[in-house]
Formats: sequence, C-alpha cells, structure tokens
Amino acid sequence: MNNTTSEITLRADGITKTYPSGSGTIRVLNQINLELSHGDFVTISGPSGCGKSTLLMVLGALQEPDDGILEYNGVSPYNLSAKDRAQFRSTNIGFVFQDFNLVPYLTVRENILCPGIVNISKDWETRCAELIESLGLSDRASHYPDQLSSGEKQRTALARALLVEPAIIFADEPTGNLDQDNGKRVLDHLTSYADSGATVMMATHDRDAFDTGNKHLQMDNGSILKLISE
Amino acid sequence: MNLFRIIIREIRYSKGTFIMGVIAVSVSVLSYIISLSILSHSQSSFTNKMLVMSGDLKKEITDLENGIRKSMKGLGFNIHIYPENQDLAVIYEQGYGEQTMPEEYVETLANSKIVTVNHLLPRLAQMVKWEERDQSVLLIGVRGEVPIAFRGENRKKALIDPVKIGEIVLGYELHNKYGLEVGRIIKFMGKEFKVAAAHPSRGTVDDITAWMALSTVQDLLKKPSLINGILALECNCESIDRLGDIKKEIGQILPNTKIIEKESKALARAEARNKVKRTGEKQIQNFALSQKQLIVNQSITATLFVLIIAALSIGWISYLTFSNVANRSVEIGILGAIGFGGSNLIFIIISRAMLMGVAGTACAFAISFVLVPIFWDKKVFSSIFMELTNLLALTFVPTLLACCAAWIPAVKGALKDPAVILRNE
Repeated sequence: MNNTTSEITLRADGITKTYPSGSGTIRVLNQINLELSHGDFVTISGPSGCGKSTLLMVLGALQEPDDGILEYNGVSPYNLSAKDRAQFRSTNIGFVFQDFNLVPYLTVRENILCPGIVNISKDWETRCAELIESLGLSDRASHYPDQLSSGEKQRTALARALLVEPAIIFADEPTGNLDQDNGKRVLDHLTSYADSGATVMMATHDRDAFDTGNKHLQMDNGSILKLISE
Repeated sequence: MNLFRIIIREIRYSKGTFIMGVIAVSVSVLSYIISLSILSHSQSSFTNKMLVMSGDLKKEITDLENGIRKSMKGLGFNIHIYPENQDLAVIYEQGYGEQTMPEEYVETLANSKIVTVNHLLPRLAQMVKWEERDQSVLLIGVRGEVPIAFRGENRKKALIDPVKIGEIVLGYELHNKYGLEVGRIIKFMGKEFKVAAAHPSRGTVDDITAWMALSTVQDLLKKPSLINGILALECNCESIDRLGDIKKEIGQILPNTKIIEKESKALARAEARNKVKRTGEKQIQNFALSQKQLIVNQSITATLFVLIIAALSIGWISYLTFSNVANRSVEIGILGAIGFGGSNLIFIIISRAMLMGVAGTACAFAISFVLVPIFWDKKVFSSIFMELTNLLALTFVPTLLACCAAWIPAVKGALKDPAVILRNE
C-alpha cells in the first residue's frame, strides 16, 4: 500500500440516488450515511436490487449521487472535473466485479498493468510480478482471459485492482461466479489487504463471504438497515 | 505497458473491422490517384498534341513563306523610290527615270528604323545603245541588297543576286540574238565583260536588259555615286493605308523622294499567307479550347467521383468505428472505471482510425507504384508522386479524414458513463 493510504477515510452523508423508471423514478439509495476507516473490511448484504451495487458505484466515485456528500479525507470526488475524478479513481480506488470485466485482448499481465498506464507515479512492473506470484498466476501471465478459468479471471481482476495499492477497494460480488476454493482464495486476499491498512467494501449474497469482514452492513430498499462492527 | 500496446492489441483482436477500414481508405486514395493519373495523362497528351500541331503549322507557314519568297523574287520589288523631281509619266512610259539622286540615300534608309519596307536595292537604269552590236539595251546597274541595319537577326536575305564587277548578265534577246553563251568575253560600250548569266525568255523588258555592277554602270553613264531608283519590297504588315504609311515613313527619312507602288500581286500573296497563318492559328486555338474544356469536364467528373468515394469511405469508417465502440463498450467502461480519462479513451479510438488511415494510404501507395507505371507513363507517375502538394495531400489527408470520421463515435464512446455501461453489463 502506498503512504497515502493511512490518511484516507471515507465519509458519506445523506447519499441519495434515483433512477428514471417509466414515467417516474426509483429511489435506489436513500439517505445513506456512512464512515469508513483504515483497515475496515465492510461486507454488504441484502436482497437483489436493494442498492448494493449502486452504493459501491457511488462511493467508488463512478456514479454521481442526486444528493448527499461524499468525501475522501476532505476531498469530494464529485466536485472534481471528469478528468481529475478519473485520475482520483486511478490513484485511490480499485474495483473488482462479479463478471471479472477483464479486457479480452490483453494478457493477464497486461490486464493487471492497465491501471499503471494512467497512474504513472512509479514503474509497476515489480508490483505486477509480485501480484502474479502471490495470486498464483505465474503460469498464466501471458494468457488471454478466454484461456483462463473463472478463478484465474477473478484473481487477475483482483490483482488489477490491487496494482496501484489503492486506499479502498470496492468489490461487487467477487465470489459470485467462483467455486468455494477460488472464492476463499479471493476473500483471503481481500482480508489480507484490509489488514494491511486499506479499506475494503464488498457486496455479497454469500453468507460465508459476508462473515469475512469486520463490519457488516445490511441493506434493503436503498437504505442501511444496520451496521454491525465486530 | 502503454496506450500504444492497448491500441495494437485491440487492432489484432478486431482485425476484421480494421481491415475493412483499411480497404475503405485504400479505395479512396486509389480513386484519387487514378483520377489524378487520368487527368495528368490527358494534360500531357494535350500538351504533346499542341506541340505537334504548332510544329506542323510553323513548318507549313515556313514552307509557305519560302514559297512566297520565291514567288516574290520572280515578281520583283513592289515599292519604287524616285527623286522628288522625277516625272512619273516618264517612269510609267519607259520603266525608269532620268532624274538621279545620291547613292547614299539607300544607306540612309537602311540605317533608319524603317519598318514599312524590306529589302533595299539601289539601281541606275538607262536605255543605251550597244554600239558594238547596234542594239538598244536597257542597262541596269545593281548592287547587292543593302541590309536594313535595325532588323538584327531578322534581316532578310537578298532577293537579287548582285552582279560582280567585270561581269554582265544578259536578257534573252541579247544573248540569243548574238549567240553569246555564259563565260564568253564581250565588249560593251568599249569595255570587256564576261557573260555571267544568260536569262531565259521572260517576255518582258528583261529580255533586252543587261545587268552590271552599279559602280560599272555609274562609270559607263558618267553618273558617279548616283542612282535613279531604289527598289524595295513592302513589308508584310497589316495596315489600312499601306502606301500612305510607307510614303509617310520614307518621306520623313528621305524628304526629297517620291514613292510609287507596283506589282501589288506580291502583297496579295502576302495577305494570302497571313490568312493561311491566321486560319491555322485559329484552328489550333479552337483545338486548345476544346481540349481544355474536355480537361475541365474530366476534372469536374474526377472531383465528383473522388468526393463521392471519399464521402462513402468516411461514412464507412465512421460506421465501423461506431460499431467498434459499441462492441468495445464494456472494455471502455472498465478502463473508465480504473481511471482512464475521456482523453485517454478518445486517443485510443482515434489512434485506431489514424492507423487505419496510414495503413490504407500505404496499401494504396504500394498498389499505385505497381499499377500507375503499367497503365501510364513515367511523367504521370512523377506528376503525382514527385509533386509536393499531391504527395502531402495523398499522405496526410486520408489519415486526417479517417481520424475525423472516427471523431464523433470516439467522443460519444469515451464520454459514456462507465457506471452506466457496467450496470447494464
């Protein structure tokens, strides 16, 4: 993790998000208030459509809320220009998706190195090699996504998210398409990353995965029902 | 890892659409090169035809001029200059005048900037008695033509060959009647002369004429440095009042003279020559105009053809890019999510189109290098590929147009909200 990580905290205050639906709108997030600190591994559960993914997108500076404030150590990403917000994401935020979302024409190694193209704070080759090694992808480094198993794809996606040592990682159902072993492997890495002082926020339907975190957040109808800290 | 590698990998991944784009650019550039080749060939062919036609006309005019010169030589001089006090009735009666003027007049005229006459020939003529034969003879003393000093390279050749001192040229009656052949020495007015030429019968006063060097005749007639006429040939110039202009010009140079015109056939021939020349030039002009019109029409057709092909290519590349952006929307969303800004994404998409343009242009060049020399000559090839403007247009414009064609889909694709793309996914 980079040195800035310990300084980052996330604060969401009154986050509201609606989507247009037919002639009206659907309120997907409703007055979300949340504070995350370093080392937090927050797992989110709730029924499908309760707003878990949208919450991750909004907190990940990908989707601007209709209302509310989002701050990272006093910086509000939605007050930045599109270009600066993209730069902010490349430095501070990592994403892991259920469908892996790897670039199909890049190899494992190249996919992992992708964030390094826009984050030129250092040469990421060494970090990439370490991640390939630690995630057990050494034999697959020069393979393309369609030559990988689901577990390998997700580990590649995880390595890509971890490359620039972001302060926070948002993972949306990262184990949803994985078998138990691969799922456990991914969760172990996320736990380890949170233990190193970063923040991880993960949406999941899996009970075991939900229990992995040190904070548990239950959502329904766009609202937080309860937040349990261990 | 860099953006360029992403671009190359993407092109390799979706090479089908890339190749279709390259073909579109190639067709576009090739159509332009072919149009240029056709136009250049037409222009070159037109220039060659014009050169041939001009050469032919020039030769015809030269031949005609030579013919006219020969005809005019036979016709003689048509402008006669006499002393001012010469009675013209005498001239028309006996063909020469009894009044004289200084021989230096001819030099004065030759050294002036006179333009209305060519070829000056001083002469001294008088009807004399050839005592040795008891024969009346028109004795004419002639000098070689006095060149007009201010004509430079255009100076005309002498129309009458001079007679050397000690020689005599005899008209038909004179040599025929007395059996005098060329080379024979005869006595004339007490002096010996060698017969230099014996003219055939002309049926004119020439038949009883004897020609000698001017100075000899001046001695025989005791009229040193005097002449009684200057013969000249009217210039081949167009003027409403030819004789008036000639009289005016000569009158200013030699005020003590009078001028008459004879033998207007020479002028008629000259006018005929001018007419032929004008007709020939008019034909060339008409041909040039029709050829130029043809080339203009070809240019318009070629321009329209190239524009249509270019528009279709631009549309095609634009469609391919739209299609590619739509197919790549998930990757665009992913790259956006991990921090690629809109400018990075636009750069990736536009660079792909740019490479399409470069590759298409290169293919078109390669094909042209083979085809153009086969169907057209080297001049056409040089006019296309050695001409800077064409080369620049051919090198940069297709790539620029390919980038322009990709611009809108690139911007639309790059500015899509990655969250929307990923949520839809």
